Amino acid sequence: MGSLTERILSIRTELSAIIAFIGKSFRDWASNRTRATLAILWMMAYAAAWGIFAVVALENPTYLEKVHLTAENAVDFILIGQIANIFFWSTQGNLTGVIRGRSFANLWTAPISFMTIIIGGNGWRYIWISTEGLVWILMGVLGFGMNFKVDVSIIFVLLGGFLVMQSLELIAAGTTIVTKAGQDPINWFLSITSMLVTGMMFPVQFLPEWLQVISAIHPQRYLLDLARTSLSLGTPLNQLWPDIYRLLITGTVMLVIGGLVFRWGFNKARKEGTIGHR
Amino acid sequence: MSFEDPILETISLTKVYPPRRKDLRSPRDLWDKITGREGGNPVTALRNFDLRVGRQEVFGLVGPNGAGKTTLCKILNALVLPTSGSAKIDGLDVVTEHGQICRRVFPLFGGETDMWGIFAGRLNILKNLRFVARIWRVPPAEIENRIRHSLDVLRLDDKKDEWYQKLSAGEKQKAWLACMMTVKPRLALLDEPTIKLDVGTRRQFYDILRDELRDESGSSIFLTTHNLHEAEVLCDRVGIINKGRLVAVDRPANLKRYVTQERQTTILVKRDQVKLDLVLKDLGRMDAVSHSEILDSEAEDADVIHGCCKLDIHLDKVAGDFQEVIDVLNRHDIRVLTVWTKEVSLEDAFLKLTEEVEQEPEEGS
Repeated sequence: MGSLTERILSIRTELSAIIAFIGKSFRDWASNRTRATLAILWMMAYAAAWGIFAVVALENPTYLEKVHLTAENAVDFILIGQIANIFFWSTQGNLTGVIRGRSFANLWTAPISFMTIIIGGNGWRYIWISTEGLVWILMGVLGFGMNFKVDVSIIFVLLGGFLVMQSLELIAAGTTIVTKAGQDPINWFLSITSMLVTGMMFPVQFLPEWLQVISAIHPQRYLLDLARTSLSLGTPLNQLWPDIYRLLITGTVMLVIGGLVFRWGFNKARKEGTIGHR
Repeated sequence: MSFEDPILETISLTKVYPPRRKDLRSPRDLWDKITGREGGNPVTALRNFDLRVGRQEVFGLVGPNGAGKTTLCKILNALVLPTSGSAKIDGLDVVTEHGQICRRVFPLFGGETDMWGIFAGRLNILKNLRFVARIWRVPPAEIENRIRHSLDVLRLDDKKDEWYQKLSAGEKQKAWLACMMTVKPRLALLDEPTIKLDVGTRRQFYDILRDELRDESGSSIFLTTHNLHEAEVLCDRVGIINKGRLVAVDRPANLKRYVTQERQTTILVKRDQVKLDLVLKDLGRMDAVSHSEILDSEAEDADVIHGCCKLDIHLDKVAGDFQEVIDVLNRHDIRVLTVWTKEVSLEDAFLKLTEEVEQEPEEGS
């Protein structure tokens, strides 16, 4: 009983710490009114630009034939892809940003769990990202007639995508905490090729063959395809399950690998005494 | 203060850093890196470091730059892993039980400003302190009182609404100290906590550490410092570290005795060469006097009046009685005008003890 009470109290303390983190980050963000206003305007302008791009560039029969493989129309293709991207890429930097930031060495000595440091350190960022996703959905639906269907399959797609992308972030954090480089080679490659080969802007079938090889190994391509198929075409879980199953297995295996790389890197940095160094 | 159940204990603690990675400036450097022939020597930051700090003790660790003080503080915070040996805080291993230790310890890295990035630059001190208090689990009902009190004591009251980034370096350091006062930890681990403080604030800080933290809150304090005066006036015991080794640990007064048992006394007397020669002869016969001479420095010494000179006498503190020296002078009718006594300072002890380590050959060389 005592242990249960202790656990509940501990969870309460950790939650309180997370709320304290979010409050601090929000106040810091809001303290610069110009930056905050520009960020909101930029978010809306960006969503509008992609909506216009969808209407202008992809609404022609040549593209639409391939667009229809994963989405009902060009607007769905682009905007659902972008919204899914916001979610999947939200993992990028959530560990490296905290661990390589100026405050980590101090936070590490605080009586809060490592998980709380990471969640707390990203709390405000996730609230902002969720707001961004919401603005995109609103602008897509109200401004460009985006249409999406909600099926339970999307939960599994998002979960699988989160596992894969978080694993990549673990690898990035584990290696960059040792090398002190801005990025690790894997994530560097995936992020610079992301715009071109993942089907973010146009169906990958239009890529030259040699680029399709890169596209085939880019996890984001499959994540976008699955998200569009689920949200735009409304494909039910039983039809998507073979793909989702493979995604979840891959994500779990990658998460274990990522965890090991991260642990290796973190302990190596502690052995070398370089935690908090740049 | 009990050493049976110490708040902090290190047992044969050793830390060896790997050789520094070389910059790649030529194809040769690259080739050496690929073939693993980079060279360079590992750096021993701590070697067989044994230390016990008692509860409610103010312990100071002093040492020259690069002696291993910050490495020790980082190991105690599990930011650096030791190569061998162990360290315990409140009986808990600093590496494997770090999570439990965090509740009892508050660290402050005053020397490395980059280590204190927890404060948001665009938030005022009050909001930053509230954040720290919540993270360090200060009971919610006490947060405001503790913050108000610490700001008041540190005279930061008028700055409480100022953005942290607008504060001067000294005020920023005061704000960190306010964190420690708000948290009231069981053990305060302070790495060069007063490095940017002015003299007045520093003295205030000593009082805070002794009266508020140790006596009222029952905290133990472990601090590293370059400031030997600080160590002398503040600490119950002082440890001297050099090249990763604990050279000596004792009360400041005892450390001074390590260096010399002698009291160096200079006496200004009327110059009378014949009588003074006899005085020197008599002093030379005294066992307690190890050295006596006439300082012929009238020309350059402002203290020496015309027709006078100085007698330099080294007298054993335990065996010697200064009255006996005066008696010898009286016997020969030498009038004493002024007496200066030079006590050995902790600085002398520090220099002597660290010098001895410097002269020892490097391990493995």
